[in-house]
Amino acid sequence: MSVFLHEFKKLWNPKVLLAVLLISLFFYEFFLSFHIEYFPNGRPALDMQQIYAEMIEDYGHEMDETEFKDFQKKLEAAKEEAGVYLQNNDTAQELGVTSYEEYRKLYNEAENGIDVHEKIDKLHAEIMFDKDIDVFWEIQGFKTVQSHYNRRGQWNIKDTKYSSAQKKAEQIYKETDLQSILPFQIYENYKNLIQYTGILIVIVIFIVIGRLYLPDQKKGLLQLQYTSKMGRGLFWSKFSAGLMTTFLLTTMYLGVFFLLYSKNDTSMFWSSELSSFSFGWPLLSWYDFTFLEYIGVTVAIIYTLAFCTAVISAMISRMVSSYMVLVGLQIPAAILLILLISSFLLVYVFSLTNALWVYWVILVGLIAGSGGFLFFRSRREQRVDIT
Amino acid sequence: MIKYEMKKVFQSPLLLGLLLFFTSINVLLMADHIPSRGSVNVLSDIVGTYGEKATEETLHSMESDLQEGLVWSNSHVEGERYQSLNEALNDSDAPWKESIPQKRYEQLQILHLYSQTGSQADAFYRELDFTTFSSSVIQQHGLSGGAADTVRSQFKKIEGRKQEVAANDEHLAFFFHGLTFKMHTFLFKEIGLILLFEVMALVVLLSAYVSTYEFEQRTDLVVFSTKRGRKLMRDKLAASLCSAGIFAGGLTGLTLLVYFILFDYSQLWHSSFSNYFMRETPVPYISWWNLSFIEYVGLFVALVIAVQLIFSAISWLLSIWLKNSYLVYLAFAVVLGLFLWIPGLVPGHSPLIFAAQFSPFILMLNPHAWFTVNNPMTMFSYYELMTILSWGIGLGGLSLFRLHRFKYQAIS
Repeated sequence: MSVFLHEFKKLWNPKVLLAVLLISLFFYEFFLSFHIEYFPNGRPALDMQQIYAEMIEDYGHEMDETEFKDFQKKLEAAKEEAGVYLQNNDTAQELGVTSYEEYRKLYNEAENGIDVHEKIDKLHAEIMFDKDIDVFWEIQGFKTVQSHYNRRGQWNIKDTKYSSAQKKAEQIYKETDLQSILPFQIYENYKNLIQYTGILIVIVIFIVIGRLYLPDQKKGLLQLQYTSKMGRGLFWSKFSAGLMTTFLLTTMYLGVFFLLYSKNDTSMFWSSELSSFSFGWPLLSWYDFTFLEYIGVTVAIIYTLAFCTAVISAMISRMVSSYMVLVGLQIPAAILLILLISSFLLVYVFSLTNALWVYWVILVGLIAGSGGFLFFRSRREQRVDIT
Repeated sequence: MIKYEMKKVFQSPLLLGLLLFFTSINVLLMADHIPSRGSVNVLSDIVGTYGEKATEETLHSMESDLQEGLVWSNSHVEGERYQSLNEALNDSDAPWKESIPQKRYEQLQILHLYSQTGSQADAFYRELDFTTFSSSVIQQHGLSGGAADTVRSQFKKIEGRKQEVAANDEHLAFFFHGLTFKMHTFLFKEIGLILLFEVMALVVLLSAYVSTYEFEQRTDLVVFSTKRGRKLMRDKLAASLCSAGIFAGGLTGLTLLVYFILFDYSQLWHSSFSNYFMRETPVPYISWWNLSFIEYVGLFVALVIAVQLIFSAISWLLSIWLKNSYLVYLAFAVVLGLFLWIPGLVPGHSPLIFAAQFSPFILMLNPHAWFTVNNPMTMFSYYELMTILSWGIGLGGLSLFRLHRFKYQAIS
């Protein structure tokens, strides 16, 4: 146990940790902060967020056809409010516009170059940007939600390559009617955040665990350690110190991440199913997860990735004899892992974008690959020459 | 002695392996554009037939060939109903498209594209006025005061350069159609940016390896106490720089070699860089000087190497300070992050916002805008040279100082 603690202490080297902390801060600044500080990003994204939140309050996590009628009533009420605004606006009066429908019609149809076009354009700019009238933005938000709901399940799937995914999509549509209320922007925002968080954690584990075996070997300590009473068991003591460190670091990073993510305030959508009407069909999931369960799955994947990274990094660290070779091997390994993360493992994982077996093959392959690496090296460790 | 230091680099199978690994990544990146290769490469036939510049004469002879094409496509439909080739090509359900060889049809289409673009060039440059861009740039970057004045005066200079381009007929030189093929972005931004990061990884690895070798092999106490001893760090700097240059040139050379084999630039080497055809955004690319494409590529490679030499020198400085290559790699990552982060902190009213751009790390992020007027934050004619020179001189001074200090430092 005391050996374990000493090895553990050696990994938490203050210089390395300082560098890791700074690298993490810059990484946050460049890749993550945008999705937290600017969410929802502008209007009508902000209005849609409020509309969705209200929907959850009024209808629960699903919206059926009768509730949808009530939803449309709200849209009509907003349009009426906009009409009142237009009736009290001088430019609108001049153009003879008294309702929201007339205003949209004129705005879309007035031909370029004529006087009316110029005026309606100016009115539009005034309402939307100069004065930022809420109700007009709200209507845009309402209409987007409405059209998503109306068009749910009407996919134009031509690609025969994904025939099994296509069947699954249609099955989900039949079973759930895609009534779940989960905004695409929230799903997308979480995807962006968790993807970069995963990449950051993998990089950090590579850096910290890379120092598991190599420093001792470079100092010539191995000859002393492996001929002592404890002997080659030290390989496992160091390894478990590495795993413990990996677990703690991953938990710390995920903890900080979810603390920051709570600023985005998405908790009301946690119990919504992923079969949302605002997703395109490739984003529907092979499993019927709720959003919270989906978050749980990504967390589990991050832990898996972190431990696989730790094993790979530790084994490289045991086999090389200079830092240059260590980092030189870590770079291609990290590139491959990051490619896997950003194309499969943390980007809409288990969605219909890829066949179901693709995700499992990658996950099982990763675990088996790093496990095998560890198994063969630890067997060799019993007999290996130490001078 | 430099020879022995460099031997350490070139005898490392890992570095050579990484060189090949990165080359294969770059080749895989190119695979994305292979499907459009056929239509891209048609241009060299056009240049071969009609000449290098889309002058009135050239356009005229292209026009007469296109007329032939019109007659020919009319002969494939009833009643010769096409008034212009444009109409014929846009007719999506024309029966004649199926009855003709695909290749002939594509050639006609592409010839039409280049002839149309060429005929718009003069008018486009006449109407383009760079001085009108200043206000939108100032607003977009939130500039005011001295910084805004700088932008306005720079745009005046750019306007002058634009008039020079039009007067020299630089804008008429044929090049791959930018809006369709995006070859400039592809080569210099997609491949170029990744290439720069790959070379940076190699250069930092090898420089720190050479420079910390004695400390890590624990030969430092022996080596640095001999008469020749302390001067070894100078040789290590020279060896790092030489190997960095060779690796930078090697990876860039290999990548470009494969690229130019895949995509046919043979007729375009001497095309002016600042041409209208290459335009991918509302603003066409304009270089600060009258450069041909091959000259631009030459300058690009030279700048890639120069930037990497600076990274090599930074790694050497970190090595002599930290004496442990793992820490050097981490410290370099921190330095990289720091210099990418700082420019965002400078307030928009001071011209310092431009001064912060003069760093090799920022320079590295925009390889597609090197030597051009196209990046508003770095639109100074000698931006690249000034960045390299100022950092080169600064690092040179710092290195001499460190070498001097190292001579008298306690070694244990």
